[in-house]
Amino acid sequence: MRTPYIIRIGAQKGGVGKTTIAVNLAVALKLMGYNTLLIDADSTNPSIGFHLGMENANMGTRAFATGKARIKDVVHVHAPTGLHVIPGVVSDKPYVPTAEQSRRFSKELRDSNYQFIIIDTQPGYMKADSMTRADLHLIVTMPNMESCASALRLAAEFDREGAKHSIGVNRIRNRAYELSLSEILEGYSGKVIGEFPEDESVPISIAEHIPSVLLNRRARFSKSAMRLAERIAIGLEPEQGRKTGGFFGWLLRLFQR
Amino acid sequence: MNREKKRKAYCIAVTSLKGGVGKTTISVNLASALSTIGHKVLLVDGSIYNPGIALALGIEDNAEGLRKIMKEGNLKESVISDKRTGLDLLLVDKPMLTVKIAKPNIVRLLDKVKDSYEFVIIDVPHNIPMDMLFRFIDEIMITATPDMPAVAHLPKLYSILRRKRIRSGLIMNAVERRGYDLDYNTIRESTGIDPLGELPRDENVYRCAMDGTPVVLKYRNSPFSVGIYRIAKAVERRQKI
Ligand SMILES: Nc1ncnc2c1ncn2[C@@H]1O[C@H](COP(=O)(O)OP(=O)(O)OP(=O)(O)O)[C@@H](O)[C@H]1O
Ligand SMILES: Nc1ncnc2c1ncn2[C@@H]1O[C@H](COP(=O)(O)OP(=O)(O)O)[C@@H](O)[C@H]1O
Ligand SMILES: [Mg+2]
Ligand SMILES: [Mg+2]
Repeated sequence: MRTPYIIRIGAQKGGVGKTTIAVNLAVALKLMGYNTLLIDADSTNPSIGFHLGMENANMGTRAFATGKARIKDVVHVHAPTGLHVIPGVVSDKPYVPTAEQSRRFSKELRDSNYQFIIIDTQPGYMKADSMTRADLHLIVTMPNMESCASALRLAAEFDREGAKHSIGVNRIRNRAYELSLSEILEGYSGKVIGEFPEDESVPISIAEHIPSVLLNRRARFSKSAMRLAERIAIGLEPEQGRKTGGFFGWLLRLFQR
Repeated sequence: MNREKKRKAYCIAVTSLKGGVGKTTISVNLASALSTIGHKVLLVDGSIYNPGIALALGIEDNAEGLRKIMKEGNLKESVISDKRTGLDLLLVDKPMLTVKIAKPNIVRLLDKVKDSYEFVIIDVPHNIPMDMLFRFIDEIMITATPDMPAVAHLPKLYSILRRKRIRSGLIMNAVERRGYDLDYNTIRESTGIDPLGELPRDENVYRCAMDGTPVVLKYRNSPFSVGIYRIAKAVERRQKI
């Protein structure tokens, strides 16, 4: 796996949990010791700031993506974890960087020495989007018809572009009128790499401005987020001498401080 | 001809700044409710990048709708009638990812449409440039859920709407009044906006989402349906002024 490994979290459907998963995945990776950057590329409703208690950070992705600033100028540090964050800035019109701006943007990300870059996006799909050149597109869906139908459509778009994608299913409640994992897989050729339960710890942690994996790491949602982080990080470690328990060790150290 | 007949349709855009807060659910159910009360209603799926109304109503055939208009410019043939709900529908069957929305077309289309209906309800997502619609819309219904990410950026939208003198109302959806939800006072304080009405979180909404029937038809007395009928009545009153 080359670094930085860029994961773009997306969905055509809104409110499925992109931001929640992006934030918790990034924090989990950071807690495991990886040098991680989280970017809020949602220009219509940037919300990473609320999740992390950084809503006042105001230099953002737009300045970076449109070439007005370099990464180092717009990075903010999430004090509790040291995670690097480029917050979003709300704008009237969604911005579409020019081809040249996109190229420079991608290049600066590629040349950076982060191990993981997690990009949260707004709902929808745009061809001209500067950030489609990710190593992995994580498509988030809920286990219902509307959002699965649009997740599969998005997957088909990515297939056409030859981009790698996986699905994360969020807000699973195991109701009879939900789609089951096997039903989702009937229509999907890729892998489901994350399964997240409906969990009250999520809205609580958003209200507290502390990501779930930090606020309550025993919560079921947190465990799913950590499992996803571990699954993703495995690709980065050499087969031999892989750290084991690094994540919990780190966490313990963090909470003992 | 009586005055009622001559009046052009009252156009409502149902929109939000955040996705997944219930635009499609509210559009479909509000339109169905108005239709069952006896009004002539056209429901338009303006969510051209991620259409949802055809699925919400379980309609698979003849859902070409807006795409057909873009291709052939023929409005009459693009509108379909749904027996169950009594609605006329202008649908989108698959995402129009590559379509450039031609302004003059939409302008002409909406003007024509206004003559033949009492209400036009358009489901418009946040990623469609809204200013295009401002000329036709009598009211913008903004949908949000009672959490910070959904309401935080509303004041900005409201200041634009006020400047343009567009009537607007805020609907809080999926309200549960859990301890950590935002309450009305917090919303009023942090956004300066008075919520217009609220719809409760209702398990029957999920049930209906799976089988393509509006909640107001299948569960007439469910809390969500009761809320929708209340909004429908309010909309009826506003249409008259
Ligand atoms: N009051 C409610 N109670 C319970 N579930 C609800 C309620 N309102 C909406 N939902 C559910 O929330 C999900 C999202 O709703 P919907 O598709 O209407 O949102 P949307 O704003 O149209 O989303 P998008 O931005 O993706 O178009 C659906 O699964 C719907 O069934
Ligand atoms: N697993 C979950 N359990 C409970 N609530 C959730 C879960 N995932 C997301 N949510 C809720 O759904 C809302 C929308 O999530 P968000 O991450 O902002 O979606 P998106 O970024 O896709 O628009 C949030 O307010 C959050 O409280
Ligand atoms: Mg988001
Ligand atoms: Mg919708």
